[in-house]
Amino acid sequence: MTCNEIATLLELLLDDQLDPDARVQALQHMAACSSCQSHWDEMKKVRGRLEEFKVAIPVSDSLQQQVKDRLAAASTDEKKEAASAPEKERHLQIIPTLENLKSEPKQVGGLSAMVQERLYQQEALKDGTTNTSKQFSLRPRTVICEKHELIRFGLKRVISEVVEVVGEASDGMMATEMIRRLKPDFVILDVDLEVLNGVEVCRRISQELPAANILILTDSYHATKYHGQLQRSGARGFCLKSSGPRSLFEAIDQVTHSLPYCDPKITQLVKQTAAASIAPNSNLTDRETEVLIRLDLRNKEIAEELDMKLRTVEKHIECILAKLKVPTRTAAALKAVQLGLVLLPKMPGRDPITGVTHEQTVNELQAELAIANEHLKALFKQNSLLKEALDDKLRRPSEGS
Amino acid sequence: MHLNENQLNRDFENLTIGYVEQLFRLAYARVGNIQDAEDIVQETYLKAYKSFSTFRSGTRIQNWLAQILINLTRDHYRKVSRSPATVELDEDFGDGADAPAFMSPEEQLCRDEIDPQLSTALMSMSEVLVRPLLLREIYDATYEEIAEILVVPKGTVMSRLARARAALRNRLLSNPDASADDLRGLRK
Repeated sequence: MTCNEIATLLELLLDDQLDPDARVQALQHMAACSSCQSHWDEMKKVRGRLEEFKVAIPVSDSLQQQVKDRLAAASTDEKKEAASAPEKERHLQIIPTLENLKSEPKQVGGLSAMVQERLYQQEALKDGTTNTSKQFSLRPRTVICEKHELIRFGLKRVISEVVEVVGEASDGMMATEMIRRLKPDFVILDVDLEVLNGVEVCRRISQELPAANILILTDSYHATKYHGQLQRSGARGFCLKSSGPRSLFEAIDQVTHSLPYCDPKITQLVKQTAAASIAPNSNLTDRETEVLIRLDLRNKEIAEELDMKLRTVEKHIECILAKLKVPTRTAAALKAVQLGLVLLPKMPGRDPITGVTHEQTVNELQAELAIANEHLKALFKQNSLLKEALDDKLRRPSEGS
Repeated sequence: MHLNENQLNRDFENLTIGYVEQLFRLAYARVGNIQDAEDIVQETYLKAYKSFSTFRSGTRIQNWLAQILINLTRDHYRKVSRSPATVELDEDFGDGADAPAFMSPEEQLCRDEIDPQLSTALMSMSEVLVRPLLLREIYDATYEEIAEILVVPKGTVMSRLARARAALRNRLLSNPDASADDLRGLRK
């Protein structure tokens, strides 16, 4: 047997695939041939190293669990796909969002629970009724709490496109009980409710069902007055009754995904209230507050903006420093920010009330002027045409006669 | 309906979960990176679960899984070759801002234990050769199983194995370092 043939046998020997006869042959050859012997040792060394390498590979203990979790998530996804298939068109808007959520492990947990619950519901409904496909949906189950029936009715019609309204309540107590019983995903709540007001309802719901997303839909008075309390009680969104359906849908979209939403008008009102409320505390007059929020500007600019004399501005600033008990205007500005005021940025030539710059005003006036000119031209043209027509008429009867 | 699916999920899990470690070793030996190897293993299970219906009875499940894993590893390599190289971030790194940016000597030692020379040698070898070798040495598959996984005749497996071993020996010998002292003495 040649060394080449033995090399092939050695491979098999290494893998324990050699039959006993060949094995004896190979061993005999190696005993006689030192090069084959060293080749064999080398092979065994490499094998040993590979073996060590294999054992040393650090397998994470949590890997099995990770794989199990992935599989569980995958099976949930499959169910969800299967479940949504018959109602694909209606769920087209929601499915992409669900896809996005897949990457968020926490939300996936909640989602799988939701899907599971729905599947059980569907199963239960199948036994009782035949009309199951209509009742089964992935839209958030919603309870509306609103005092006025007509508004409830209208609201339900509007939002039924995106949510599934499962209950309506007209007073606070009824709302709390209904929410406790139905465990909805989403609650639209008015503050102005009887028996229990919205703030109390909100507090109770978020204590019992931290997962429920609460959208406050109310008027600007209640929204501003109770904004802080509601936020502390777990309200996630604020929407005004005076706003249009577009911002309502935007609010619903945000809040049903557990994201905060606040109507810009409410933000503005809350800020204004904070600004107004500082005046009595610090004894600043309205005019002084106006000067205070412009301390970023030069005195001359403040005088121009507020249409007062330079001396008056200086006097106002003196009073502000005295009342706020600060030594410099910088400190006063700092104090103003601490008190919750928003300093106006440097923008000379701004109208003090509307905030419109002179440049904008000039542009607007020029545009108006251009329009007026066009009008005038048109009128002139009309006038000349009428004149011609009149001349014609005057001329014709004379020709005719 | 969903009860059956749950049952399927459980069956699949029971049948396959035992091979996690084996598959991880195989993936790690090829990609040389814990994070990527874990990802590949998870992907393997997902893919296997999704196409479980196409699994033919009579095939050994571990071979089927290995086949999927090998395909995914190849995809991974394709992806990596197109994107810039990444540096593995240590898991503890995120815990504190004052964590050291360099590996401690202990960590260095731990990392060195996994034979960097061998790892580099394996990763630099051609896929055709390294696949049967890893299946044999790391995955403990028999010739028949390797033939089944790679869909090649048994004779091809044997010859490729022999060539792979020779190539590996050459690489280890031509590029020896401190950790390969034992092999140095074997050179003629």
